[in-house]
Amino acid sequence: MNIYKFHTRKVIGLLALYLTIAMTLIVLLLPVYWMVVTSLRPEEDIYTGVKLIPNPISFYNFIDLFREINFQVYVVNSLMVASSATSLSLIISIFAAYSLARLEYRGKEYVSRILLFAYLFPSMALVIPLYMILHSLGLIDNLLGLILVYLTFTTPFSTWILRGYFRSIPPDLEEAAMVDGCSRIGAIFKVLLPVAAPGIVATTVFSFTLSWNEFLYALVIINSDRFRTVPIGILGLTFADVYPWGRLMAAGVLASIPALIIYLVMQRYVVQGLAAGAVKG
Amino acid sequence: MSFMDVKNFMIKSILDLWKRNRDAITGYLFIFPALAIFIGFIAYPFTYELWLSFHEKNPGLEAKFIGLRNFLEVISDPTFHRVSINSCVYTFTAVFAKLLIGLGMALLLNQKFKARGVVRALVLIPWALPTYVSTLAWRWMYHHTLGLFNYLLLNFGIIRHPIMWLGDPKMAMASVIMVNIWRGVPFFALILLAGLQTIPTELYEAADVDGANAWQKFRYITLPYLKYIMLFVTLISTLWTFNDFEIVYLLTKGGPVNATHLFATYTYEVGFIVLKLGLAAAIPTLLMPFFLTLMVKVTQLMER
Amino acid sequence: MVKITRMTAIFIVLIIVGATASGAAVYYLTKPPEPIKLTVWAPKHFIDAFNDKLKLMVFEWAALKEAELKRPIEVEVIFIPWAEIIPKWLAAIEAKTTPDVSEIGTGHPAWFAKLGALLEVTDVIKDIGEDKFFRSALESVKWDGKYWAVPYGYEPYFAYWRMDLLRAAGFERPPETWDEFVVVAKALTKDVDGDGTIDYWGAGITLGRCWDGLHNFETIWWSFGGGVAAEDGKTLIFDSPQTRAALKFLADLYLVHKVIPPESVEWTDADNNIIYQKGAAAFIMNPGSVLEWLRKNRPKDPFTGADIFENTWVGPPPAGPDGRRYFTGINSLAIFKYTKYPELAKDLVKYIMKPENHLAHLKTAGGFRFPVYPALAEDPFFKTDRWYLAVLESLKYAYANWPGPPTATYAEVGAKYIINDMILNVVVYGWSVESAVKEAYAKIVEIYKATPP
Repeated sequence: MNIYKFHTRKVIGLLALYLTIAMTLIVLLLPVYWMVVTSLRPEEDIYTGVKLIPNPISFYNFIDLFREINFQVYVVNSLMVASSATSLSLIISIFAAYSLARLEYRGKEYVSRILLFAYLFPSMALVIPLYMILHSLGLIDNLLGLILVYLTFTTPFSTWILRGYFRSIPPDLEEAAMVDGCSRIGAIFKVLLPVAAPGIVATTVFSFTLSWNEFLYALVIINSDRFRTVPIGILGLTFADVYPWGRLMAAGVLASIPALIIYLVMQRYVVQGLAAGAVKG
Repeated sequence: MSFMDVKNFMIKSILDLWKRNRDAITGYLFIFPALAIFIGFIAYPFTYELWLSFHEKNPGLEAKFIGLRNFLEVISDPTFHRVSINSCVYTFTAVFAKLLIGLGMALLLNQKFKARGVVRALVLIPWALPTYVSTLAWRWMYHHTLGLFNYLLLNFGIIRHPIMWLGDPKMAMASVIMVNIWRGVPFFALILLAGLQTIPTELYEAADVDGANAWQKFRYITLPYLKYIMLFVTLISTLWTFNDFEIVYLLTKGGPVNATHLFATYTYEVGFIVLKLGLAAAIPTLLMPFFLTLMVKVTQLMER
Repeated sequence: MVKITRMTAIFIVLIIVGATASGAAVYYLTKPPEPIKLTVWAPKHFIDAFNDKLKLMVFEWAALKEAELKRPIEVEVIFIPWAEIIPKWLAAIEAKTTPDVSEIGTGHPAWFAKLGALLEVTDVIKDIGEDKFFRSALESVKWDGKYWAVPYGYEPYFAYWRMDLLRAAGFERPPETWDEFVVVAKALTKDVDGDGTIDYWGAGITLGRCWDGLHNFETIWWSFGGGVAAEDGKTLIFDSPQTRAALKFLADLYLVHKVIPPESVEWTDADNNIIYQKGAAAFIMNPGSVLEWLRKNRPKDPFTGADIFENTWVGPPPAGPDGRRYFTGINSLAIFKYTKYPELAKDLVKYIMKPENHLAHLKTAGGFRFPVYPALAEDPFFKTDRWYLAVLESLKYAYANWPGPPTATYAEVGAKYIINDMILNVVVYGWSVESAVKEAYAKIVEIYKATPP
């Protein structure tokens, strides 16, 4: 095949790729565009009809979020809760996943399945008994109580994902490190985790997002305004039959930023082929 | 034997035990925190709900044992039949679509192209938005007169009369499923992408040398590597989608006339409105064997 | 090393024990008494000033009480959005972590009283004076012959009319009866710019699966003489020609006269607000939230540029063949049974409901709350604003439920959307009025059997 045909095929392939990506983004982000447009329109203007470009543009919806309700407080609370829950569950699930993937002991299979029991019941069914447990621990209206409850649904998921990653990575690397005098835990952190980085990133992002967006437990467990998290704070913008659409959409836009930042940041530490390169040696 | 001899013997035995079972003990130790969370925060609510489903209970009042009556009541309720059908349609359609589209997107995002990191982050947005807000945004888009969809479709002449996305019984289920798919696709895409990233590239290179085409590469290299993760996300997503609440609650409240009523919205109605906590506990208890079986079967497949 | 004899050791131990014991005794005897702590929950209302005033009143009461009892009193007022408050109440009742006092909504006194979660407040009502309240206010807090909450404020679902649209069509005043209404609504429903879509709707009546859908129908239904249960709250009168007539009337509005927007069947509580606020509806029935929104945002009619707020008339909805009746929500103050300070809680409630305090509170409410004391209705304040005046005059036609009192069982019927579904079955699924009524009746019978009021 001559060089020109090959080149054309490459160009067409690239074009097809970019086109598909563009279309996918458009479909996925259309509602987000809609949200952004609505958030930039003044409240009365929103009722006049559909506009694809906001005109007049107003930032008051965003400003009002911080004036009318303590949005910044909610953001800080959500950040604290989500990052604590994520890091705690990451540590717990790294050890649990290692245990399930590398070590042998009796009852291992049952234990791994039991962890998934958390997902068999809807959170609505579990909320009242959980409330009572937290009450007996004195953790109602307390962010620590919320963090502990969030661990119940982030940990099983993280454990199983990481277990899959660990299993697909041959143990040779860690064994080599341990032979060289590394402790088991040292081997995990120095050798295994870097190789399992894609899995770590994925679980971190999803645990964070799950915790950040969690609604029902935060609603029932937290009473005081100063401990509210973002989703419940957004709920507080509505009153019975009054929905301030502009502010709701603005809050939504702001609420999605942290998860995005986390993903963008963590993304850079994952290099494709890192796993392949390491294993080859 | 003196006191010292017994002491040395005991220490030696423990050390022996430790050396021989070091792996197992480490295993138990490492998994203990995860189990502790389960025991502390899941075991009690779980058992409580199971216990509650055999009782009649209103908030604040004493529980009264009534045996299997709650289960009989649930099974014979025609609304529950409707709800079951709705939930199955909702879950199977949505999960299947999320898997296919998610896999496609993962393959796409695995290719090299400019600004790949940014695109991957953008793709996350539907999942990253709080469900409450994104569902409200969709509600606004589905709005009959002020909504984006009718506006676009009418302006491009594709339809002549505005569609009642949420009020028309034929459209309502499709509308709520669409929101669930939109929200869930990033979950599948990014987890599968992470899975794709651990596949060693030399395998593909070797396959190229052997003259394999794209489909063969996909079937013999990609799929086997993804098997564990695909089964897992499908399982988790199925469990979560069966129990999905917010989307239907905010868009249609189960309407029109139960056309989109799901297990979770039905449980909410029984527990928080009719205030029959025992009956409300019976619903997930009744479904649990099915979910449990699903979980066991899928995890078994994952082991192989 | 100091040699310690046995005696010295015992001596030292005795001294330590003795010191600890006396120290503990002194501590417990002179400890200041535990501060009294009362918690108040209230749904967060649209008007900040109204919420703030409640908080102020509670703190005022605490200061007064502290001075009187010479003991520190701590109070906490927590505002909770409506969407959250019901699960929170239920979880709190289960775990016995309820607040001392809470504002509760329509139908809730009977609902909670049945669960045994409330403290009986018959003595409070008698203290204030039974004759000082509107009759329907007292009806709504009664259960099993006793009073379980103190009425706090009305939220009537009055009628909003666009006077400019009425006048443009040649009508001087809103229709008095539902029959007249049909004529007026048809005249007002039109497409003004000839693009094939209707721009003004004569009847922004909600048919969707939400509370507005129920209350809009109740207004029509009760004025036709139909209802669920008789005055005793127990005997079912649902299966009646009046019910059929009301349902047929509403269905005809939608299917035959086409004065209700087709998308009304998917509306939530916010949508009739939206359609009136954007100027596309000439008539809706809603509480005062729309009035306040209009007052604050001053939207203009998209075609004529008229100020919608200035051109809005509010008052009672039209009368039916059996009279004029319409739905009003009524909120009340309840004391939860688990309170540690029942007498103080009752005192707090009495303070909030003292006529001068109640009046001051309502003055901050704008258009959305109305007094439960007929005497206050005479206050000049309510005569300053033509809107208050209109709604106040129409309060005599307002009912929380008719013909019987609001009961927990009726609330369940509402919460399960039985009536809404009955309407939807006719207008969406094409059922006959007869079969829709029969089906709804069967479900209502079951509910009344399983949970008698």
